[in-house]
Amino acid sequence: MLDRATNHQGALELREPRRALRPFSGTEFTEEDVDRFAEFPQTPWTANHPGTRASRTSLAQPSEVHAVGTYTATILHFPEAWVEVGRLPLTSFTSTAAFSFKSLTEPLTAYRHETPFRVVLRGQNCFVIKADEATAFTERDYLEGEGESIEAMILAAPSSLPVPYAGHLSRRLIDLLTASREEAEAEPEMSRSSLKWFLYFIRSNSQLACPLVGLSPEGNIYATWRRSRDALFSAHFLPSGLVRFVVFTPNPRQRNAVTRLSGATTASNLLDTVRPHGVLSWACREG
Amino acid sequence: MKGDVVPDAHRIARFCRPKQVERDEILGAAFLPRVGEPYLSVNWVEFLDLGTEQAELQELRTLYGRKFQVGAGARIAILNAGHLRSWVRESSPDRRDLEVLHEPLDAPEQDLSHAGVFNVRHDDELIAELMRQAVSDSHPARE
Repeated sequence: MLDRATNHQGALELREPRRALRPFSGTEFTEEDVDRFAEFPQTPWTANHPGTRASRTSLAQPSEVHAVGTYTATILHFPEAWVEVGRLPLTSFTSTAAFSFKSLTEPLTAYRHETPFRVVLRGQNCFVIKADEATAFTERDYLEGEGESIEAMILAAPSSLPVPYAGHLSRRLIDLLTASREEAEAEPEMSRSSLKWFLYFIRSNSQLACPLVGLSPEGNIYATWRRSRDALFSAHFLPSGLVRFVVFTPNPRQRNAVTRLSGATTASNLLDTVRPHGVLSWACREG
Repeated sequence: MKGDVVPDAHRIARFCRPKQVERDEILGAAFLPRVGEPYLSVNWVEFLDLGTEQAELQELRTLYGRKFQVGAGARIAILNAGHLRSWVRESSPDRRDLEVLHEPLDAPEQDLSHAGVFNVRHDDELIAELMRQAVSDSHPARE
């Protein structure tokens, strides 16, 4: 289980990483850390503040408070993970005021408290990274971390994307990158930031079928899921993290009528935004 | 002449780059203008005045070969101007009225059949998808 070192403020920390998986501002975590949680994919863990070890045996019952302090916890997790943060008053151990995070749409969050309290973290396939005022990071920090070239991101896709079409997608992205470089005099190359947001969306929504993928004139990823003329979901991933989307969907209340709408949101919120319009009924993988 | 309206009965051709085509399927991105461009570039097919579809296609392939880097997956999308305009007007939430106007070019490559679809912006993804739906035919841009 993960060792927790605490600073004088009672902040939760990971132990020293042995090999960086992805660097970002302030803190690194390792593949081993990920594997450690992946060992018990069905078993939630609980980390109690402060100074106690996370143990998979202490699943439901929070421990007593050992110290009073203030701290910041930042939670990073991957698709199919969930994290629940409970904040309990120091005098009560009977209830949990849970702050639920939608694991598939809100994979990163910064959570701060200024007053003494105890945090009970329960999670699966996730881990906690120390963050303080200076190093608290956001989704943007993660996705815009240094070090990975476009080529590296694409070549890593077959092993890093939890989808059966990862190999096909990687080959398509290579073709797109090659084509965009050949045309670089006329139009910009593939945008690295746009690609990152697209891969993040695919990674976070592995139930979706393989989209058609292309590039906009500005080199941004443009993905389309299309079942028929009247059932279409397209997403244009901008470098800023915003995604402009289009949905055409049959009107369930009027035969032969089609609802057509468009909008813009973040990659983390995209599927939740289009879900009410029935997109998942035809954009998901079979089986 | 510049500014002439392309008649509704006439056709326009849109060059679709390989990065906007997958498995011969044209994506909506092929109908997005570049940022800052006042129109979507197309070609007025009847302006070529070549009589047969085969000759028109050959001429377009020659033209695009001069103007662009024509990759293996590139395609030429053919649309009827009137159908395009009515389809977009009827189907778009804001009843968008596209205009298709003659915009002959002298530089960097002479392109006298060049035309523009006006009233569509670089961030009009919904209009671009409707335009894609209005494609009546498509052909490989390379023989």
